[in-house]
Amino acid sequence: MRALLEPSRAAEIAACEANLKQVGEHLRKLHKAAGGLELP
Amino acid sequence: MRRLVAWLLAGTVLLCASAAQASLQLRLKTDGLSPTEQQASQALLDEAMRSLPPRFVEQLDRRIDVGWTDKMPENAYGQASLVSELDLNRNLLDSLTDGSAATQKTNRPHGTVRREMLATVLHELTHIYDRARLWPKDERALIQRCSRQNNITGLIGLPDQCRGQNDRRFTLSDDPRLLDLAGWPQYVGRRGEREQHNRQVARSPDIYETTSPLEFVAVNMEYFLLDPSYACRRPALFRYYKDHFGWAPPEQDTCAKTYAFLNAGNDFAKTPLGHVDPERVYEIDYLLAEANQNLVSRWGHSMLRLVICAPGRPRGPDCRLDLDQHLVLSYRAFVGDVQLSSWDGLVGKYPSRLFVLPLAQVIDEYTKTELRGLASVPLKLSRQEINDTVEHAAEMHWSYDGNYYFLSNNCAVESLKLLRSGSANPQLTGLDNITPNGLLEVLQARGLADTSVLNDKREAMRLGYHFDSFRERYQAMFDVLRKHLPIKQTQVEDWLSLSAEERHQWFDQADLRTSAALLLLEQASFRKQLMLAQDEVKQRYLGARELKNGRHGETPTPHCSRSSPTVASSAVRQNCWAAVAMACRNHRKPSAWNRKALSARSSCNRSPASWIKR
Repeated sequence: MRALLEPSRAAEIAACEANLKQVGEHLRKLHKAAGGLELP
Repeated sequence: MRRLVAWLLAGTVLLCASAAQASLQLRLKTDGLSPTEQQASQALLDEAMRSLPPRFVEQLDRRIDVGWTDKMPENAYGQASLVSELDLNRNLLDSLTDGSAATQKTNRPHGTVRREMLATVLHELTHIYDRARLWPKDERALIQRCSRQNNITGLIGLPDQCRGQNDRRFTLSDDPRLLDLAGWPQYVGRRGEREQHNRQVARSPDIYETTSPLEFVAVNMEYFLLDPSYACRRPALFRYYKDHFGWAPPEQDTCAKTYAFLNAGNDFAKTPLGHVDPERVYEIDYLLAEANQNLVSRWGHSMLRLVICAPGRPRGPDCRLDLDQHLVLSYRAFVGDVQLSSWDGLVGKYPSRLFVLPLAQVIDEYTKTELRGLASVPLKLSRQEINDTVEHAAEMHWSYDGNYYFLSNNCAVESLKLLRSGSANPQLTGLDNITPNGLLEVLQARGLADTSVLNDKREAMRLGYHFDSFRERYQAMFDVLRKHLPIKQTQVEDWLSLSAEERHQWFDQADLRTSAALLLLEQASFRKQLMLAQDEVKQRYLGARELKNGRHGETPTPHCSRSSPTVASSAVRQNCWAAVAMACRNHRKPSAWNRKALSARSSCNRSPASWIKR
């Protein structure tokens, strides 16, 4: 499906996905550092 | 004196006798026919007479001469004169006489050549019946009253009941109700004037029916009389004919109680074919996606919501909470379509089709992706009107292939047409509105919708009358961001329109609370990008489609100028383009079942004056 998109749009979507992943990791790290609850 | 009485008596008896005999007679022109040919022809006519409704035979009290002629195009079956003559194509006589017509297949819904000949006789007789103005008594009185009124006050002063009833010329084919069901709905804002082109083209037994209402009535009469499954295929039209004639053919199939629809939900684990049982539909809501600041969305978007009860739950207010069962009827170009470009909508570039979607998906689409709230207002419809609307929606879902016009044929107009044709509620007859929020106001003013459910916002959200936009939540998240980071933007929309890279640079500085807010906003950005991507794919696909149809930025005909986006010229273009699109469609489809296809294709002449059927 991605092949149908303009390269700029595909790149922006990929960047968004990378952002999401990174913010998620950042958040988890802070959460862990603050001693937050972790599910097994 | 006694002599005079005798004469009077004899006269009365004669009058009574002739009145009793007055009915349709088909007389075979036997000149030049051998006895076996006469016999076979007479058998065909007898069968046609037996198939006709009693009211038809009784009211059309004239003799119609039926003959065989060789002055007819090779692929034609027959033709009727204006009043009392019917010609059949002599090419077919031999196969009728030797019986081979009864087994020779045609690849059309009627099956065999003989069946096709029978359908032709019925079709042509229906044309004569239609022209004979044989209205039932009440209808005739209404037509006369409305015509008189029209002469006095003109169209502006006509009551709703008279809309389309003044100056009628045909028994059936200019009846407003028939036109609603057949696919020539009222043009919005033109006091009952009908749209010129029938867009209910996707599942037609004979596409010839869409050439004009006259042909529609005759073609559908064939199927009403000869197809035992007609009542299941076109239930509303079946009832229309049945009511008019006070009769229906005795042999009828048993229809399924539910209507199938293509499940357009993005949950692929669900079966692709869904079913709606009208008995389980508790209410129909007018579902309005509220306006936001985008040009196209400023008037909102109208849809209809079917409030369906969970299996086993009796119909009642509790059904409003069975959200997972509810379905939304939405006119759009594609399944997940979000209409972003106003220019293309203005000039009718989008297709418009009726999709059936799960409510939860529509709520997500609008509240989370487009950041618009949804108001769901129950319509005051009777049980019968609800059933009929669901039935009509199913029919439109499978058959309608229209064009979206931002002004003259937008979602509000389409939804109104669906409600009007489906429910036949007289309050809707004279209702004209082209904006979604305006339509809601008019429905409210006519007592058809109850917007009081929205007064208490909290309660409305609790009971599912209102679904709020995620915009406020995202703005709250953005405010958290601004509190902790020196960000220039003040509105969440501005933040979401930054590039991923620009947003990315703030990530490392974010603390726990801010990162949580960032995560939610990143999800929103991701959804927004998907929406934009979807729109781009749509534009590209439609661009390619236009190219294929030879409409690439050029004028398809000298009258179809694309240059000025005025309302009036948009209407001109709609007609022009619809004609071009139809012509292209006809060319593409090798219509195995279209008797008329050959001549229609070769000349592209679709005027009713050209060779009338077969």
